[in-house]
Amino acid sequence: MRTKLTHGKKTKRFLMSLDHFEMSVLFALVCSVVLGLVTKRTDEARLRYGLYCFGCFMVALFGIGWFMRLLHG
Amino acid sequence: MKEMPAASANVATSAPLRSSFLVVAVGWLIPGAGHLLLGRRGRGAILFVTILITFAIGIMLHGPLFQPGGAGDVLSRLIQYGGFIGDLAVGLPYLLARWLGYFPPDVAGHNPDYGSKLIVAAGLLNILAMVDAYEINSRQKD
Repeated sequence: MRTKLTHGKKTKRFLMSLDHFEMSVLFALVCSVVLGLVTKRTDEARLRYGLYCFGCFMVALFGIGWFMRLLHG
Repeated sequence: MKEMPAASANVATSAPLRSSFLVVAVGWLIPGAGHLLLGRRGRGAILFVTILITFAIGIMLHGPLFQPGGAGDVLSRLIQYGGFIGDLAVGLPYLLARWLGYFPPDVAGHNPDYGSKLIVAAGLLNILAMVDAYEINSRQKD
């Protein structure tokens, strides 16, 4: 995923480009993995809590997204 | 006399596995290494990969590193210092990036903005990992 952004006369090359949704999902994923690992005692509880955290992130992401869309009409 | 063995056994089970300073310092320097030191290889490996990927994507997005100090109001300085602590918490990857001359300009755009947040997030996740390693070492959890 290479992209080229132009700021005035200067051209900046990025190795990678993410949109807001991709960034949010990536952030939710890494946070859920670490939160699941460090907060629970058994592997099953860690997996469940990680999935729960990821689900909460997704609900918040889509919920706030739709809320903002409704606000803007 | 009969209570002495029980008391010494109690002390032995609550004693830390290793030096707390060593576990936290190694965990800071290399994400997940504190867990590896304590024999939690799986957890250490997952933490290492997760935190390193977060940091690497932040670098690939050309996220600028925070600098402590500088001019500005209290809120700006608070953000700069907080961001710097978050960056520094990544440990060796951050130090290597600085040493290798990674210093992208703070330009406008969503990619560098996301990048700087991911680098700080990697540091904050590493702080969670260090606290977890400390608790394992002090036998507060398995």
